[in-house]
Amino acid sequence: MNNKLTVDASVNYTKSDDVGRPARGYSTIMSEMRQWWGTNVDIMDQKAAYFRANQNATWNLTGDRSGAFYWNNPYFERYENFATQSRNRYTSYAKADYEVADWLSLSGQVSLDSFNNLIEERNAVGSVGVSQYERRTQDYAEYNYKMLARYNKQLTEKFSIDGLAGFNIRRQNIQGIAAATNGGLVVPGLYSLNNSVNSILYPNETEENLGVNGLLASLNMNYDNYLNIALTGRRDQSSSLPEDNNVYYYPSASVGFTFSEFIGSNALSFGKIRASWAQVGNTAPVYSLTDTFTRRANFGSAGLYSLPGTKNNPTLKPEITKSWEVGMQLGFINDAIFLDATYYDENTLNQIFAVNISGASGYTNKFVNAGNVENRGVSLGITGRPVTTSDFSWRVNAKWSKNMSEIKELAPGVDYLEQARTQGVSIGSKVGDEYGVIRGTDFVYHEDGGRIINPKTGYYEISSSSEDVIGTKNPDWRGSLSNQLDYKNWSVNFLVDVRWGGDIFSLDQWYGQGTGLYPITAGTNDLGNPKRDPVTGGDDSGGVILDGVNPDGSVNETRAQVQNYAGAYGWVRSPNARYVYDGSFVKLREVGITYNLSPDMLSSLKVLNGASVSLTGRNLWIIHKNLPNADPEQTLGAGNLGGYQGGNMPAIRNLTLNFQLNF
Amino acid sequence: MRQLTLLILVLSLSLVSCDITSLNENEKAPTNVPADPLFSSAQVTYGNFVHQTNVNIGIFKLMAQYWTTTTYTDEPRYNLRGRGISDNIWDLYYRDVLIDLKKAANKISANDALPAAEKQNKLASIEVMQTITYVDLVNVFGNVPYSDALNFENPQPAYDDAETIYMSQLDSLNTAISNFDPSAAGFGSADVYFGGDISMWVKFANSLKMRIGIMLADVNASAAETAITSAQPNAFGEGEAAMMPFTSAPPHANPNWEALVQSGRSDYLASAPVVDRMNNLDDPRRPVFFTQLAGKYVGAPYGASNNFNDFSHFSEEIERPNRAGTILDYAEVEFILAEAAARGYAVNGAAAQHYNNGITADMKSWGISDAEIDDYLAQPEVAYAKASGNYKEKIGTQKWQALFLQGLQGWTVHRRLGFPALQPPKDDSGNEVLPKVITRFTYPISEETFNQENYNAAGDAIGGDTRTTELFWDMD
Repeated sequence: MNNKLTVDASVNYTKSDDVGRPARGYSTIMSEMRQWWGTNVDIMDQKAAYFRANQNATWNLTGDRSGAFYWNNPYFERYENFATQSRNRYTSYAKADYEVADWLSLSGQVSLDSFNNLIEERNAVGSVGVSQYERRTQDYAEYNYKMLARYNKQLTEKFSIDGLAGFNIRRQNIQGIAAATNGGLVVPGLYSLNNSVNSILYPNETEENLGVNGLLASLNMNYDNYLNIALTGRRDQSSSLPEDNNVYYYPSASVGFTFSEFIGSNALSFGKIRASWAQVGNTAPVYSLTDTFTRRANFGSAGLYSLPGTKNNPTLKPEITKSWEVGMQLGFINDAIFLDATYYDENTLNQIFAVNISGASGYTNKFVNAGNVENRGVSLGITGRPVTTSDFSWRVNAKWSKNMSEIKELAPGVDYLEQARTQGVSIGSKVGDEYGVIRGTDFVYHEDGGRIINPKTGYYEISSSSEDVIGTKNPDWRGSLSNQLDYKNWSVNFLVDVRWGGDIFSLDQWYGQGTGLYPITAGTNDLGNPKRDPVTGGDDSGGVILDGVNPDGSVNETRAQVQNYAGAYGWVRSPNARYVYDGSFVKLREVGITYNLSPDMLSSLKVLNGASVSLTGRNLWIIHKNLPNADPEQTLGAGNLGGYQGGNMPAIRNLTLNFQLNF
Repeated sequence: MRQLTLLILVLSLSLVSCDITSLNENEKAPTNVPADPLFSSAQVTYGNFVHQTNVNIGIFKLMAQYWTTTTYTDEPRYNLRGRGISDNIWDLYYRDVLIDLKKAANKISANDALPAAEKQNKLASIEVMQTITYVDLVNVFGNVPYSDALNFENPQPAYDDAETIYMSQLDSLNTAISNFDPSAAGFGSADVYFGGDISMWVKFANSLKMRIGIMLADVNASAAETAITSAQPNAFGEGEAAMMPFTSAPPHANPNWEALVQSGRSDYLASAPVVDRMNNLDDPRRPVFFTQLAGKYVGAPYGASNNFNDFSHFSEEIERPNRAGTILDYAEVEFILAEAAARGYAVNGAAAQHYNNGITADMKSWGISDAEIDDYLAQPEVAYAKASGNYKEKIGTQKWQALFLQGLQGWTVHRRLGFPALQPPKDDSGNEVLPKVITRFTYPISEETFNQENYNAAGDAIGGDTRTTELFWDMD
């Protein structure tokens, strides 16, 4: 505007519509195919059957052929029972910057991030289950009002400071309505709430508001470019914590010292050590302080209200995470070899959880601040340039990291923090555990270590407890290796990713081995006979001899049948532990080839400054894994889950061809 | 410039101290509701559960061997772990029934605006519901949390002795009975079972007292006799019952309709233990219960893998969405009196008379004609004087028959009296899954995980957390 005041504004609008987003989880096409599919069904027949008359001509009919039994024709499922989502998203801001002096400027900004979302789900007439239409809307808006003063001053020739101070006000509002038809659709193919056979139940209305007021300041001190000390502080006040305890602070301090400035050496071209300490706070989820009642559908004219299963807590405290970190960077021979090492240690105190408690208390969960969760770890990186000539260079980058967690403390009356439970397997932690221990039924072990098999049946003995530790979901370490080779105009890079350790319970194998989907359930046995033949006493016997010992320690010799789902393989006769696999993998994550057009090539085209073409492939090859028939990275659920796999979409291998033109 | 700085300072300070806690009020859910809808909700949940057929929670009709399954044989074969059935049942009783009753009772007690008699009636009605729920809990699991239960500040409650819970609730029930005042109001239209009719609550409470009494017969005969004889004059009479009045449309329709019709699935069949017995006695209730297969009623072997089309299915009457579900009826009262008389308790009427009344009452409730009832009763295998076996066998068999569809009650008759002589199911190799019919459900997996010390102590106290440990009233 004038030379001291600048004003800036921007609006961004994104609209997305999608149809047929694939569902994940138990009752989906993926779990149908990976756990329950009839292997004599030709999927192309199913396709033709659907397109013949747009009906649910399924491979899985009821006994009297009157309709679908448990699974729809997958094409009917995709074309008739699809979900649609449409979303409008706006992000916008307006800001003003004012230069008060050459070392001090002020800025103010208002920004809005909002979207509205409509999700519609359909279960068509003729499907398995009750036909239904469900719609959910969600409106999200987040406003941020920020005012900052920034300063930057060279105090002496070698000493300078910079930083900022100000406040940020955040207000978040989420509203939603979910409603569904009740008891079926009257008119097939009409997806509207008034097409419900019965009056619809009360729609589920939600409105969530969250406000956080923050004050922040930072000071960065720099001496002669080799010593740096940074201090920051933040004070947040949150609306979702109790009024008398809703403030939390985030101080931090860090120091960096480039000691190589004092060591004149060609061999050690760069050396820096750094250390930092920080405290971060977090607030409770909205509405976790006061109890409310849940409305149920009326019984005739009688209104029904019930207490929900989670008990809220009016005395919640803010979560605090305290962490410190030390690190070192070393560069050798003109930074041809560069090392980066970090060690961190963080403790989260008073973490806010809705922990599981005994249902006999009248609630199955209650909100508490749970004691102390610790995460420590190391990350190392080495970058090397083994070869550098005028035409050719080769760069290598290797990374390795290890994280160790421990639950040091929970809350009074809480011995176990459960993150997830499915099909009898629980993922969670007791005090002293790492985060994410997998528990379920286990084998029964002989004192010499073998798995005990019942000599009468040939099946594994299953432990009587559902609480045995059968795995841990977190990996022992992760690493990656990337190489980049440049020759004249060409550039090639490839990246290998490694995860070592981390167990996964496979629901696909748990059910699929029982239903006879996987190769292990077929083929010939040790006698050369088909495994699926009946078990007889003689040389023509089918069945398998499972690997284990009898209670007396002798090697198992009893044959178990593989004729149906309640046999040697599958969920009926196996402990959960049998289907826990090591989730390690080595993957060829990315390979890319790029050709850069050099400036002389482009000189004739005066308009272009540069151009390049690149071909990149991602998720190309799983070089090694232990989890059969599935990608160990495709676990169920986002974020915290892991450790459990079932009905997952396969990972996608993709190839991208990219043209870049610079003008 | 100075003004700008001042403005910013003032703005920031004011925003820092402004009240944001009011943002945390949920405007879409109430923090306070009256007691009535909490009571109605508990009644609906309890009444629905008595007849629940969902395989993840409602397997009592299978335990009683009234029904059996086609493809999914895990549940009839007593596999409770796979679906967390014990967890689901436990949570339903405590979280979805008892805590709402307790909350309602607290609100009513604190409500000074309520007339005293109405307050008494409401609290007594709640006590009856609490009693029936705790008795069910004990009959399913044995020792369960009671004095320490329903307190979120005690997330790991200790378990109480089963018999003690019974006696304590019997006491509370007696107090409730004496507190009812039929001339005053109660829950009115919020009362889903009786529409606010307190005189029916008195009868329900007395009939429940008789049910508890007969459970104690082998444990504490004098307490049993006292309970039954004192309750007899005020229990349900002919045609009277506590019923769950299911609606014709979801979500409050009869769970049998949901499982047999709405789901579109073919999971359940009439089981041989009940069909064979009914065939042997030419039971006139058969056409009301079952469909025929080529002119015959054919029951499926219990616990076997059965082909849906080879056996009798359930009748339209049983599949009716608004068929009311029996919670406790007059027929059961008569069978209790029959057994009490057979044991020599000082009840009015002889065992044979009550036995006949029980069978007649049940048949009438299914619309059977007087003539058919008389024919049935006249058969030597039915007539009390001539039928084989002792009173336990005669009464046990007919009472189990009359409790058809009330899975928990039917299973309890077999466990307590040993009759009818049901057999445990077999697995695919022909081996019995347990040495006898399951005697109790194992404690929830969540108790083992989240309340381990008390869970272990309870297991020890009852003689092991297994499916063959006998409950305190189960004397074989």
